[in-house]
Amino acid sequence: MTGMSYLTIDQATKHYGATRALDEVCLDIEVGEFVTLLGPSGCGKSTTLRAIAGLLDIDRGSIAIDGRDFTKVPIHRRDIGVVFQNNALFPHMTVAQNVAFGLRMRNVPLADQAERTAGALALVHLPDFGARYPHQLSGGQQQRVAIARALVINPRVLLLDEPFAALDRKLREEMQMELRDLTRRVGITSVFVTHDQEEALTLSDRIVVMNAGHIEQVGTPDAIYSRPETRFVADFMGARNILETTIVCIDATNATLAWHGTTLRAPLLAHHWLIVDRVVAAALRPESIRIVQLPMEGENATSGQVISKIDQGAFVTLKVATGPHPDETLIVRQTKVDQARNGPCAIGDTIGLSWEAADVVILRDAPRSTARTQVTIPLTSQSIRAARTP
Amino acid sequence: MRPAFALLIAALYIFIFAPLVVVVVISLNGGTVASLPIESWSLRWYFKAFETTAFINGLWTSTWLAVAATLIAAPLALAAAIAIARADFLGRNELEAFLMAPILVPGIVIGIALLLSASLLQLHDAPVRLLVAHVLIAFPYCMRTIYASLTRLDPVLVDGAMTLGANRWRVFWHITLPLVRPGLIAGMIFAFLQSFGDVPISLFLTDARNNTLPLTIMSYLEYNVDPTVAAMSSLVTLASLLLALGLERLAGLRRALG
Repeated sequence: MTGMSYLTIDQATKHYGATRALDEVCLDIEVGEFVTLLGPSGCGKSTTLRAIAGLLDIDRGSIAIDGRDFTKVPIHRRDIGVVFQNNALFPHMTVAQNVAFGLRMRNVPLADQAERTAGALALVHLPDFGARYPHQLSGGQQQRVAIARALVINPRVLLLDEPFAALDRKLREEMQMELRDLTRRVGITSVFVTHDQEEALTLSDRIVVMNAGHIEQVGTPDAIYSRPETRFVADFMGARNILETTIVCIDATNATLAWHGTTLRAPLLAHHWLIVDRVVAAALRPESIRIVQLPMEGENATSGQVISKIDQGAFVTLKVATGPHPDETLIVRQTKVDQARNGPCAIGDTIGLSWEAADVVILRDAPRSTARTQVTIPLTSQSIRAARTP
Repeated sequence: MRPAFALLIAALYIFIFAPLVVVVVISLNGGTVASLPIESWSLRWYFKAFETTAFINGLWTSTWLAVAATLIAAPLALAAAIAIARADFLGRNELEAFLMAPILVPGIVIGIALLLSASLLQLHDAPVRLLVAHVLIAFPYCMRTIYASLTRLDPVLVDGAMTLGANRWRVFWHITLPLVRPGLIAGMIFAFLQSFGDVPISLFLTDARNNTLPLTIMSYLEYNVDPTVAAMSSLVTLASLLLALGLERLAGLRRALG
């Protein structure tokens, strides 16, 4: 957090019957930031977005923009631009009428309406499409019109609810680049909702990973990807090896972990609260594991037998059994380039595996709110609070 | 299977339309009795129809009644349909069934019920009684089609309009109303035709000076056998057909544009 918070969500809570759609969600977003709410369906990301837009009332908590409390302001007075998943263009209006709608509602003079509408359509590279009807446009063009329509009112915040979910992969990637470029040029504070990890990593300044109505982790794409804090985030971001390890010892910068006879060393991170002999989960991404020559010994290395192999185009994913216990398997992902260098390996082969200490991430299972209560556990001589890693 | 099905459809249409064709043919009969075969071709019964005061009065009564009933029922039905389609309240389904009931309850029962209610309320003015009854006839037809249009309307359009700064009234005016217009127009056509052709309910509520066209035709038939009735019926059929076609084209055209 470097600057002042522009959009502030404070302890937003929303119940649907007995289920908590939002559970004390707190979030600070800076001016001009592009923040993505990421999570599986039902995690509360869309609920958060709708709460910001005013499309639903929260039971408790508050939403403020630029210091002004918007919690009770009706939708049509919030000046927030929203792009919906299925674009929500008005089918009975032309593209130009759609884009001008927000200006018309604000009683902007007709000449200004025309000028600003033309400007907004030029911004999304559709300057000559004003006279068409939405059904005459392709899916990507419809979403661009929806973006133009949301931006033309100079909104305080731009909200996007899975806007590219219905588009095919290639078009989606184009639209992502275009959107990122557009929001930078306009300098608008944006909140984007998606369940697609890649999309979130591509677009965002910061990612907010949500699960079951609460925030699991907030961080830069790199932090979310490389240093997940919770089991949920690690799993959701594709760290398919989550190992139940026992803490052997802790020094100033690293922890040594034991997993079925394999020894791992992992860096300590600022949020870690570790106690020797406790069981902790450690995440290891499949692509961080290298295939090396046998025999293997020492830390962050093991060996095992290939038990399955899936070719996925650019990658080959191997499942390697490193011991007799059913949990003793590692998922290893190799690029085709690496495979060509190391020589192919077949099911049944015994191979050596190794990885960097930096790629082992110690997780805490509990969500943030529970983790806070751990602070009250009396510290013993065996427990060490991890120092912030340099 | 397919030709057989087409044949069945054709047979059904013939079954429905053949009597209408018979009526039109008889109306063009130059003879004095409404019967087949035709003696000679003539338009004399059309002139006779327009010279018969009872028919002209009936035509006038039925027309203003149908127009007024439709114009009163349509906004009421629109409001009711929006409430039922949008809001989620206890007894919603029961309310919908209640509002649709005039279609299900036999007309003669409604007629008697209205007659008794009117006399209980000291409502002796036939035009007022008739208008109340015909609003009741028109209402469910309007509501059904408007409701169908509303359920096809994506609620995200309303959300979108509100985020763009439209209050509830402007959402209704700029988004909801234009998008349910085809259903509204279709419902109004149905309602008009139902009101115009009604016999069982009106039967109990007319008086000597305010008689609807279908009732005039019925009473005329009791004492006369000439083809004047056929001529009047042909004219009404033609007018209904033109109205339905014209408004459908209007509504259909708007829809294609939207």
